[in-house]
Amino acid sequence: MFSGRPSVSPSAEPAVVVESRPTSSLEAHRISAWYGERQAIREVSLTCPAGQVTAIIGPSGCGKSTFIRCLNRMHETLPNTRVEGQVLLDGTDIFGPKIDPVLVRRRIGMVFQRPNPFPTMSIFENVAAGLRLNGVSPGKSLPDLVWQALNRVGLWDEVKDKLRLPGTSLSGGQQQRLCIARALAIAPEVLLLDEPTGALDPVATLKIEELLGELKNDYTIVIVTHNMQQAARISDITAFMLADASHVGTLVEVGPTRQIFTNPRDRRTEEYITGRFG
Amino acid sequence: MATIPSVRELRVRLLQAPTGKRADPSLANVVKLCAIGVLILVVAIALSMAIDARPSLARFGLGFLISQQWNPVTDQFGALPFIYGTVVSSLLALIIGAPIALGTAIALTDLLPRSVRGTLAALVELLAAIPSVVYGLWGIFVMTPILRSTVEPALRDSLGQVPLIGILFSGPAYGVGMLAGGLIMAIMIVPTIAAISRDVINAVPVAQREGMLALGATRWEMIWHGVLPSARSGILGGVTLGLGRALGETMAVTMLIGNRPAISASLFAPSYTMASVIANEFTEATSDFHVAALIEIGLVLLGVTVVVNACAQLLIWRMSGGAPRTTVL
Amino acid sequence: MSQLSPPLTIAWRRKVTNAFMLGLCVLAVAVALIVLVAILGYIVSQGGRALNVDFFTQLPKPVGETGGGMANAIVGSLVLIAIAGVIGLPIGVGAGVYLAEYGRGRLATVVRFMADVLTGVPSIAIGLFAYALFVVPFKSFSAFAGGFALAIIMIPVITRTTEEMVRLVPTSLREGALALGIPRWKMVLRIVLPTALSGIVTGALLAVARVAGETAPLLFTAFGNQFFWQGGLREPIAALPLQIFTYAISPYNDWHQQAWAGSLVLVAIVLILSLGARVLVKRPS
Repeated sequence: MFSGRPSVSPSAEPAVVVESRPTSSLEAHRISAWYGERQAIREVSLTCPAGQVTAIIGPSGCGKSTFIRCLNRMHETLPNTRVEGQVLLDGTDIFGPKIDPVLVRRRIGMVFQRPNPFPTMSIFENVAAGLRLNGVSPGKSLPDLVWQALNRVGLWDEVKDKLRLPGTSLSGGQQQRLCIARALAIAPEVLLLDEPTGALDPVATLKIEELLGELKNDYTIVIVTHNMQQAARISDITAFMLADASHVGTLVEVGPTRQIFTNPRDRRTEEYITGRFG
Repeated sequence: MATIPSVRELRVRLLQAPTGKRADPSLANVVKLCAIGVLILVVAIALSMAIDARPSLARFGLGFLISQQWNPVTDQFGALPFIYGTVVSSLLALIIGAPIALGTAIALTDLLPRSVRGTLAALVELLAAIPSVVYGLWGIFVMTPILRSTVEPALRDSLGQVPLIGILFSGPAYGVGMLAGGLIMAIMIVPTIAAISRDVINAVPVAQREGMLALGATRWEMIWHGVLPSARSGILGGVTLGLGRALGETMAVTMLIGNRPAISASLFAPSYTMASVIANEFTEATSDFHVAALIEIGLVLLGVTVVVNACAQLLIWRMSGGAPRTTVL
Repeated sequence: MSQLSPPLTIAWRRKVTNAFMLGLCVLAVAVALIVLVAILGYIVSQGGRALNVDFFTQLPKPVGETGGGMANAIVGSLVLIAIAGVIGLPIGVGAGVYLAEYGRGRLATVVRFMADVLTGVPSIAIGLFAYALFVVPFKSFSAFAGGFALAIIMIPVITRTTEEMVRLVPTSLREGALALGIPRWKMVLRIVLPTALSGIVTGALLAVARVAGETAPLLFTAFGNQFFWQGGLREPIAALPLQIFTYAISPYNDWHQQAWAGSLVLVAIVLILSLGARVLVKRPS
């Protein structure tokens, strides 16, 4: 699928429009990343199962943002950076030699901490941006696709009368949902969220947590959060990261969320979730 | 309602859509080419002038710079009068303009009430928006009559009687001349120097000012001892930039300096700058040597202004530790 | 000096120095402003007197006849600015985009330095360059040569403001685009540049304001023309500042009046452009 050749499946899809369920899990194998000479994370291995929410928690500076940016090859868009290791999307390593990172990012979407709608585009154009700017605008059915995405994130009723207004004219929580809609519009298989509610108020935060709960049926979701309660609320699997003595982030423990929060195996995990540091 | 493409269809199309493999490097190369174009412009200008000045360079050599002869009829050319005119008029502009600019900057940062600072600063910057030729026009019809009838005779009668410096204020009062040229350039460089000085003075931390005042200093002492020393290299940079502007100034000076290629001690006497002689004589140059000589003068002017401006930029960069103002006109 | 420590009374001498020096500074501002008022005042009064509809619509009359206008010069200036814009804007914006988006390392530093050097090159030297490049080979003064000279003056201004404005575009926007799988070149052209657009336009307006009043580089490139521009890039063309210069140094009173009128129009244009640029910056991008 990465080289751009259409996949041919012997069993034809039914003519009725059906959302195909993601079969894609994301498996990170021994990911290490550097900013110049400084190593930020060391050999982090994590499996994010398909159709589930995996949360990554840890104190500031533990490398969780760096890690999640390796999962869709965003880390390397910064100058003078390096990544080692493998990330398997449905069995294929996205760091393989012939793989185009641009195509990777069309399969693995990302939402950032601060909502970043494009200021020169309207709400409609923002949602459509991924399709239009990649040259796959479906012409007549574009408004329907936009409606679909906005509906999915529960924003349609709130913006249906102001689709032509700039994307930045919405409130913070609405902007973030707009960014999620924008990411969903290109039908990714995995959705990465880097502290998506970090800049939002509690009401907006709750709305997004509810949304993620609904989305997980159709997307594999990986979310970085420094809000432990949030991780406990919405995730199926939780991974705890920590910076070691030389300030390099490592994975301390990963497991089912319930287990991590009630019966962690590692002493450091327990200290973190009971609030003794971080 | 049109059929919405299925998720599978969308994904297939997205994975077949172009990823910029060829377009990315193309754009990068196009903008790089533009950048290189900017880079070679300066070099190209210098080179082009050097090439066209060759006949003159070959014929007169270094003596060109110290010869006072300027005779298109006999093809004898020397740049000294113009170098003298340029240097003296620019220095005059600095001597008159820099203190005014500095005083303005101090007034606009530390003295006048905050409410008027912005408006007055904008007004001063307005001086920079007036084109050189308009300054020249005003100079011819407003300033030089006043110089000729009032200011220069007054100077001659007062300072002109003082031994040693009296020679600067001697001779007939034409109105046009070195003094007029230097004066108009002084006005023109005030906004440049004032703008940079203001930035630099404003950058001095408030704590330094308050510290001085707390020690019992008068307002002026606070400025002189507490603010200006820190701002010194930046102000010097601004002054140097002003000098650079004055050196390259053409139109207003041409209209006011009298255009006579002779070296004279008096500020009342007409003079000639490098830029002015090029502006006046280029289109009517009689021989190839004449043209080449004028271009050689242009080359000297280019070299001098580039060096002066480079020094100014260095001084300003050192002070602000970063990019210089982009809106200096 | 007072014997008290800390001094409760400041010595008389220090007080006088203080008042004197501060007075000088205020005097300096006053001088600058008085000069400004004097110049603008004359321009408005003298220029206003000679300004009429004819000025904007008629060609100059031959020597000795009164009346006429500077219509050809106004049109000529517009044409020259247009040519300068067509040449200078793409190169300037391109270089600015390079410096902000792609340039790392020595080439970028040198380009930036050279752009700053270019701002200090005397405009008459630039005129000589354009003369050598475009007047000599074609054996005629031309609008193109004039426009080219003006473009060179515009380029460093546009480059620096474009770089500044493109840098101001937040990284989060770039990342948002890349995370959608948008190729880098599209991100630059369709997201970054439109976001920086008002700032880039400001830079362009400032550059135009700067060259609108330039005379020296046009002296031997555009050269001036008593008639309307006929549309050829290779013919000499009139320009407002050139015409003002020619009239100002002439011995005819009538032409002096027209020079004042032309100055009024020229200063008005420059001021409107500069103010327009500043207003654009204030608007949120």
